[in-house]
Amino acid sequence: MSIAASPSPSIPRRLRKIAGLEENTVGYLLIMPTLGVLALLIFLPLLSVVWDSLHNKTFLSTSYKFIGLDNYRALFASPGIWAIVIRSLIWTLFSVVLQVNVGLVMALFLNQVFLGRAFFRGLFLLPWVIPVVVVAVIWKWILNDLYGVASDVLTYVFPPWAHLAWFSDPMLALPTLIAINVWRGSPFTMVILLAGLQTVPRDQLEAARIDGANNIQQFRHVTIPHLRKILLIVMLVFALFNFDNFDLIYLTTQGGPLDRTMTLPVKTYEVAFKGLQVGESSALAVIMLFFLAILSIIYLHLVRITSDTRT
Amino acid sequence: MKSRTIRRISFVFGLLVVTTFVIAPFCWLLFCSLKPRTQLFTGLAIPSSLTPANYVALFRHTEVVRFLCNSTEVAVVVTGVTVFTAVLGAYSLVFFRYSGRELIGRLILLTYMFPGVVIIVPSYNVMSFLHLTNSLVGVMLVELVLTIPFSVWMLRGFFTEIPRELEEAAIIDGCSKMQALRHVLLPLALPGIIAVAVFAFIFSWNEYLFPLVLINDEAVKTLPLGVAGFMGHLYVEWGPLLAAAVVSTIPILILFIFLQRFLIKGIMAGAVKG
Repeated sequence: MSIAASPSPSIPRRLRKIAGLEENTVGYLLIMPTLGVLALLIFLPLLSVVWDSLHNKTFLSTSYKFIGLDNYRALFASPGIWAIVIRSLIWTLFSVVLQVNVGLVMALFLNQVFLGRAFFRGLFLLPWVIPVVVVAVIWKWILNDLYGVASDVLTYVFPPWAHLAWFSDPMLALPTLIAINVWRGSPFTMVILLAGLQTVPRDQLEAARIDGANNIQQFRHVTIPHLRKILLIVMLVFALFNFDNFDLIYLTTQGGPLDRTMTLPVKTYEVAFKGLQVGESSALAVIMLFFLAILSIIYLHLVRITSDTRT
Repeated sequence: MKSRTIRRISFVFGLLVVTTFVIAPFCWLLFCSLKPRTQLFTGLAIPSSLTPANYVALFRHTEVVRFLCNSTEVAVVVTGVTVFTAVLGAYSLVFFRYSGRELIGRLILLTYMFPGVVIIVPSYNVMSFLHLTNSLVGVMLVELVLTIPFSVWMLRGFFTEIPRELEEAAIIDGCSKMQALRHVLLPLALPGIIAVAVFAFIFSWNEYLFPLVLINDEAVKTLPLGVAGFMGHLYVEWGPLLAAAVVSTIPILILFIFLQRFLIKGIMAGAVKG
């Protein structure tokens, strides 16, 4: 942001003035495809979703009429909606906190220059870049309550847990999914935090050590303040990722058992494409947007702060 | 001296734990996919032999080849169009000065975290209006809408690192803006372009939600959708399913082995710079 904003000194002003108009036209032309996509991605669907949420639209019939806020009223009157909202927040919060903390611990262990570091960094990104359906297959296979290898291992390590139904026990399903999500996300946060750790100035750590700070104090008073911004950004971005997550939940439990892993994205999908209730689903989408807007505003604010301080 | 040894040991231990944590599930998947059919459910017991039987069954009895072709087609087209659009967009945002540029940049950043779920109903409606449901073209269009903003943002990060003077010098030497892009900036931004391409490819290869909504017909299913279909049957054929999971991972793995350093650069450009 900062570099682009500074005026270039090296072209004579007169020349720039003549070229300016033409240049701007080219600039607009070049950004047009992107803007077109943005319009398609944000404005059109947003308007459409808000509009749909105010009508009793379904996939079953082509006629519908304006019903004001009835979809929202119906939603909030329906049992379980608050449970879904709260569950979405719990899912997001636990996922983020664990992904970032596990990632940070891993990054601290690996914060050294060593042979093959690039190789390992790449390796650690694998859980994040493979198709989610593969993640689902892997864990449904490993954690299968009848023949999963987890049962075999647990028989030796911790027998009381050997025959737990990880995905179909209503109490366990959500923690299981969060754990899988942490497995998937924390290597990614680790790679980012590792890059952050390597920007911590060594002389400051050295100075702290000379002043008598032990490892933990160095970490608390030098490393963490340096990492604060990057930690905040990673947390927010992952909060958004997790809040939006549909694939992992849908591919493993479809929101079950007994809705115990039903979050807003899965519900939005189900209401639209299983229940065929377009209006109600759109109302759910608007509620999701409300939460996302809050997170996004914080994120944009943070990005502005960090990019300002870098110049 | 002592603290160094402790550091070394804790490091090796950490590396071991982290690697196991990340890789063991993959290894188990690969290992089990090679087990004979009758010994799939024997847990930790060592199988009598390893066999490609599950893969043979997968390719012989399912539509997996078709899914692979469909996924490849979608991923290649999406990647190509994304890179082209993103290069133009990022160039415009970084090397031109017009009003509204900052606002556009901000909007792009916002879309980056836009959840697919919110726009599935409108996208479905648009695609069915255009008669593009059950068509790979429909899937491509929707996925482009998701990859482009992200890619413009990432490439913008790479472009801002190129000194403006280089572009200006090219223009003073008589290049047009587009020539400056082609001859001066593109070679310099190549790592960024590769990163964007890898991301777009991976994203569209992995995408599940939009194909799920847009596609019913077995003949146009993409790989994730097809594999999820194997899982959804009442009776799960685990052998071919595990093989299918391995097959879905392989293209990503290959991309990774050759291009991961670009990918990591891309993540840093996107994440560290916000």
